[in-house]
Amino acid sequence: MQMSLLYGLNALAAALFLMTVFLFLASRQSAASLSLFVRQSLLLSASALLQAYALHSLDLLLVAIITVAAKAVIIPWMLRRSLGGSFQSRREVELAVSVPTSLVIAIGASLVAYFVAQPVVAQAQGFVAVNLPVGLASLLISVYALAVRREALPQFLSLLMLDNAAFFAGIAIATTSALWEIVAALEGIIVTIIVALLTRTISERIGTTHVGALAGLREEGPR
Amino acid sequence: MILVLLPLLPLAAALVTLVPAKPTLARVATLVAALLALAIALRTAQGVGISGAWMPLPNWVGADALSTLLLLLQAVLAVTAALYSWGYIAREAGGDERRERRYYLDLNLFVTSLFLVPLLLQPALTWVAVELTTLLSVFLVGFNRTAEGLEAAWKYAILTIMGATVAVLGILLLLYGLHGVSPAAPETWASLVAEAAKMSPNVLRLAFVLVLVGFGTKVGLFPLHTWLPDAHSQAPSPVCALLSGVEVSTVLYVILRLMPVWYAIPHFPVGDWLIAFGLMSVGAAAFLLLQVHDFKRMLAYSTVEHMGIIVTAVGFGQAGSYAGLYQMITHGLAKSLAFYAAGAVLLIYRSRNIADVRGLMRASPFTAAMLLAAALAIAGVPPFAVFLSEFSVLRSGFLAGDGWIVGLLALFIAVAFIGVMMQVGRMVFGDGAPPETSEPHRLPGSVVLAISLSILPVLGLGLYTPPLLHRLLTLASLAIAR
Repeated sequence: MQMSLLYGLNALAAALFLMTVFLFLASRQSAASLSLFVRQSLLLSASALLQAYALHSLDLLLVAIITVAAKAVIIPWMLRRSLGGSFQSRREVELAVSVPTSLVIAIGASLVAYFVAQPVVAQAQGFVAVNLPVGLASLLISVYALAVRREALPQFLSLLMLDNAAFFAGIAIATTSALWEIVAALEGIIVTIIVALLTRTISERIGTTHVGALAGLREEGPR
Repeated sequence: MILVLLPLLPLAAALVTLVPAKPTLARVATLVAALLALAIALRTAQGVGISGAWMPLPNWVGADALSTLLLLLQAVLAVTAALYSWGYIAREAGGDERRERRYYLDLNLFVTSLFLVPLLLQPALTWVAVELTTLLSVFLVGFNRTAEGLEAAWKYAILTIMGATVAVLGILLLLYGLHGVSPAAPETWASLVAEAAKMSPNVLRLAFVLVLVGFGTKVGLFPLHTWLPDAHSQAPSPVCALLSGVEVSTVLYVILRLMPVWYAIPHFPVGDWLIAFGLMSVGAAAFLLLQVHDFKRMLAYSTVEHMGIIVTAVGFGQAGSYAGLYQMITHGLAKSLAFYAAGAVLLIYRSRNIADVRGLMRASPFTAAMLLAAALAIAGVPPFAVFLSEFSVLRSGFLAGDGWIVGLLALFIAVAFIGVMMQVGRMVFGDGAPPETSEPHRLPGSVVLAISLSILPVLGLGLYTPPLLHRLLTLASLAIAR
C-alpha cells in the first residue's frame, strides 16, 4: 500500500476522531456518550494499525490490539455491568454550560491546539503532523467536557476520552515499548474498576451520582 | 539488589492483610514491612552517599541521591503511619475487623506505589507508578464513607487522573524528542538528560508545559490545587500524613527529575515559570489559611504553601535547589507530625471544626503541646527544621539576585504564619470547656508513640544536619541544577 494512501486514511481516522469529541460534547445521554467512546477507541486503534503497517512496528500492532480489547470491549462491558442503571436511564445529563456555547469553545480550543502544535510538527512528516494537533485539540476539549459535566458517569467518560486523546497523539510521537503499552492498558482497566466502584458507593451512600451537587467541602470564607 | 525488595515489602504485607485473621496480624505485618523498608532505605542512603548511585537493574530500577532522599522520607513516614494507624484505625473502625484489614490492604498498596516512583528509571513506567499512587489511595481518602469523604475521594480521583493524563502526553513528547536525536538510546531519565541539548526546543517547550500543568495538578500548585484541601482533610489522619507529607513530594520529584532537561531549552525562562507558579501557590494558600474553619483543611492549605515554597526555591537555581530539597524533607516530617497531632484532637473532640475545639491544653496537655509544636514547626519557627530550610530558601533567593521575589515570599510566609498560629492558638489556649466523654480523653498508646517519635527529627534536624543528609542534598541539588 502506498504511503500517501496510508497518510490519507490516517487523516480520515483523525478527522473522525476529532468529530467524536465534538459529538461527545454535544451528547446529553450517558449511553450515547459511552457509544461515542467505543467508536473513538476503534478510531484510535485504526490509527495505530495504519502506523504499525507503515512503520512495520510490532509494538504499534500490539497497541492496536490492546486498545480494542481494553477500551472497546472490556471497559464498556465493565461499566455497563457495574453501572447499568445509569446507562439505561434516558434522562439528560446536566451540563454547566449550554451545548452551542460549548461547541464554540471547542472550536476555539481546536485552533489553540493547532497553533500550539504547529512549531513542533513544522519539521515533522506524516503521522505526527496529523496525530499531534488532533490529539492535543481532543485533549483540551475533553478537559473542558470534564469541567462542564456535573454527574459522575459523564465526568468519568470525559476522563476516558481524555486518555484516548493523549494516546492518539502518543502513538504517533513515541513508539514506546510494548510492555509500557500493556501496563498502560491494564492501568486504564484499574482506573475503570476503581472509578466504577467509587461511583456505585457514592450512589448507595448519598442516593445520587450528581457530584456537581456535592458541596459539603466548600467552606472557606467568613462565617 | 536489596533495593528491589523495597516495594516488595509493603506488597507482601498487603498480601498478609488478605488472611481472614484478627487485625493484629495486618497491623504487625504493616509495621514490620515498614521497618524493614526503612532499614533498606538507610542502607541505600549509605551506599548512594559513597558511590553516588545504586543501579541493581540498569535502565529499569535504581537510585541516585535525589531518589534516595525521597525514599528515606517515604520510609520514615511509612513507619510512623503504620504505628499511628495501629491504635487510631482500630478506634475509627469501631471493631469492624474486615474494614480494618481492608484499610491495611489499601495502605500497603499505596506505600508500594509510592516506593515505585523514585525507583523506576524509565519516565513512562514512573508515570504509571504516579497513576497508581492515586488509584491505590482513592479508597483511603473515602475510608470514612461519609458524603464529604466520598466527595473528596471523587474530586481527588478525577482531577489528579486528569492531571496525570495531561502529563503523559508531555512524557511521550520527551520520548519523541529523544528518538529524534538518538533512536537507540534507552528510554530512561539519564538518556533524556544526556540528549536534551540536542532535542528540538519546540518539543521540549510543549513537553514542559504539559508536565508542569499535569503533574502540577497532583502536586497541588495553584490554581490546580482545589482537590487537595478536600482529599487531605477527609482521609484518616495517618493517610493525611502520607498524602501531605510525602505523596505530593513524590509527584514533585518527577518535575524536579526533569529540571536538567528543561534547562537545556535555549532562551527559555524555566526558573521564572517555577517562581511564578510557586509564588502564586504560596500567596493563595497563605490568604486562605486566614479564612479556614477546619483544622485539617488548614494543614492541607499549608501543604499547598510549602509546595509553592519548594517550587519557588528550585526556580532560584542551584543554591535554591539545595534549600528546596531540604524543605521537601523538613516539610514532610513536620506535616506528618501536624496531621498526627490533628488526628489526636479529632479523637478527643470528634470534630474538625476549629470553633468546636477549645481548651485543648486542659483536655489533653500532651496533644496540645504536640499540636502547638507542629504548628510552630510548619510555620517555620526556630529551632524546628523548617525554619532552617525556609531560611535557606530566602537566602538562596537573595544570592540569585531575586530580592523582590524574596520579599514577596517572606510576606506570604508571614501571612501563613499568622493564619496557622491564630487558628492553633485558639484551639490550644481558647476559653471553653473540654468535651464531655465517657472516656477521659485517653489516646491510644501507638498514637502517643508515633507522635513522640515524629517530633524527634522535626526538632533534631533543626539543630543538626547529619553529614550523610548534607551529602545527599548536595548531590541531588547538583543533579537538578542547570
